Amino acid sequence: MSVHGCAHLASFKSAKGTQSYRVLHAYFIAGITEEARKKKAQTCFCHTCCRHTSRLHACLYCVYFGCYDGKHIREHALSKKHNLAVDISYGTVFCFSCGDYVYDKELEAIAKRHRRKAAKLNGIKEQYYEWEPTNFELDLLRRNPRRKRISDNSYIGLRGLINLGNTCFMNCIVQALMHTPLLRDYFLADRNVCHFQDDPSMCLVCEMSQLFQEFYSGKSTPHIPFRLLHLVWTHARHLAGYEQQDAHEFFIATLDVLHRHCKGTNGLSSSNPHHCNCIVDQIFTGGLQSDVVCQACRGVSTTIDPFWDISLDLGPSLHLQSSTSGPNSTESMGNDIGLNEDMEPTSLLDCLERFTRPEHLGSSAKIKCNGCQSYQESTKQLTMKKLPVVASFHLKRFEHSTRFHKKISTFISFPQYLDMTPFMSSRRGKSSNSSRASDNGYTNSVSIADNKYCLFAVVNHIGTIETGHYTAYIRQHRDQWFKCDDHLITRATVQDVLDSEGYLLFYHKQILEYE
Amino acid sequence: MQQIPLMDEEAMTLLEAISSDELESLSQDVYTEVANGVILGLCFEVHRAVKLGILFLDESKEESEKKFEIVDEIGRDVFGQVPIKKQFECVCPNCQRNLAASRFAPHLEKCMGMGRNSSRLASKRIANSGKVDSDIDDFDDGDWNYGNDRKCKYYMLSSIFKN
Repeated sequence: MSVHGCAHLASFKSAKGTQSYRVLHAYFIAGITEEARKKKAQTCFCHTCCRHTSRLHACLYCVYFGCYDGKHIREHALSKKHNLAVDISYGTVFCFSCGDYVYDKELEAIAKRHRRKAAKLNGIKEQYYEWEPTNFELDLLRRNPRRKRISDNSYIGLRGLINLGNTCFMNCIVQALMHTPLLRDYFLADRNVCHFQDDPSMCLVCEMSQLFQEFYSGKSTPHIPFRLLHLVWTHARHLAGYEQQDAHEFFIATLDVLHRHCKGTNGLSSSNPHHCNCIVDQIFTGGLQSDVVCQACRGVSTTIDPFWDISLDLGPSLHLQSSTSGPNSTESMGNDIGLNEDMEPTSLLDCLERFTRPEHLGSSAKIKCNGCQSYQESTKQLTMKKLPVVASFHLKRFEHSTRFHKKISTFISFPQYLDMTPFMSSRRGKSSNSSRASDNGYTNSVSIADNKYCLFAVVNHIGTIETGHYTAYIRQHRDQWFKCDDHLITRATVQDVLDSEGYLLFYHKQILEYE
Repeated sequence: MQQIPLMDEEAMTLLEAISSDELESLSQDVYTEVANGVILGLCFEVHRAVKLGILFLDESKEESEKKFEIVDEIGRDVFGQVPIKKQFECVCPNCQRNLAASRFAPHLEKCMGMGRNSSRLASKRIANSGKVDSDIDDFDDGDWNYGNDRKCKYYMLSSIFKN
């Protein structure tokens, strides 16, 4: 009952090694080179009846191909006493003495290597292999037969959170993180190894891991996240005390502490974000490109900064916009000095469009141009260079830093599915109209699907800037939505979600790539 | 019939020479071969899983699944509970005191010496007594500078939008 083949295969291997299997597999099963594939196409037929199909097998002892259905390989095996043959379609070894297919670890490793080579030939960078338990895991699974299966209608994965005194802002962020598919899979698959250099009970990553265990425990009583609050406040002391805090601020602070603890540093975040490969960076970090074009010499200065979220302004635009920059731009701007009537965004796409629009930085904000060696007027444009796996959007409904004491409650519609393609750096300079027409049908379809996102969590704020309450909607089981109001978890419809005001929006990439 | 962008001239001429009936029969053959191959692959997967004893590893009893079913009743949450205000308790990790969960946050703020009130009280106490009170040993001077630390610590883009 293991991957050790059979006694007959074992004695064959000790006598003749794995050479014949290797050659057979390389040429006639996997086809690891162009030449091999040609040979495979030309010579794979039964030596007795000349048919191509009907489950062809290759003898491991000599050069003979025989079909299974026509019993020719069986005749060969009996007459020549060559008891081992390989199925040409999949490389599985048939033992005539055992009367069954047998599976050998060593041969499977050879087969896997060949398949990888062949896949690379076809342009497939990495293949997906299903998880298989190791011997230790197998033993563990057999000794513990109880399973917690998460069916479509299971509440496992859902859990209420007690409000510790105006901590609904924290509860909502926890709900969003607990339902981030990639993050959940990482922790539940036990991928985390603690790098915290101090007292392990102070590691936020470990606490997060523990939280996932709590959410998937199947317990129906709400969880009390007091340890989490203590940890975050210990490691992010700037989140001053008890007054109602901003969920967005808490989200960023939490990511920062997690990131630091992943790297094992307890001090300020000293690691270079571009070289970090912790789970936080892998999931949440994107790259924002900023292009500043000098109006005098047309020189472009480009910088790319990492980001964890995109904060989007609402309300009327405060800058005069110009989408084309030319020598007469100041004059044409003079003619359009009034704000366009669609300056107030009413949708997430409006906000993103405004965010990535080229902006003319006025004469009061001249930038030193390296080309001209002088201060010149310029245009600035922000675009997405690298999209994170989870794209988080923050609708700036409050302004804590300025003297804004009003909450912007205008309805901003947001979609369930979001295509970020128009906001990518690669689209810079192309007008939105040219996008579909110029792509012919033969462009790499993978790169088009690459920028599609799916909504999975929404954090809402109800009330005024002084007193309010945070709730969250999260997605579970692909298309079921639930409302999380502290300890109260109830079912919601996708329409409830899309009709809600929206403060923080979390989108997950639909197609993930191997690196 | 859709145009197939064939590169090979020879193949093109060959294809054009075949009658549509022959082509139909050939496509049927190709389809059958592919379908058989896929089915064979699945058979091997299952056969191997059975042979290695890993086929039913993730099976669970139906009764255990029913236990965790989502409840869809009005007035009840997804766990089937009626939402009543229950008093939950927890232990403060700082001072080990037992307290009501819903009052944990304000307690922790004072306990850790954070927030405006605690700092004010603490500095008042220091000024009055002349010696440091043992309760506020971990009062961190850094609290006063939290506003400045914030901007360098993480990647907020608010500075871009400042006028």
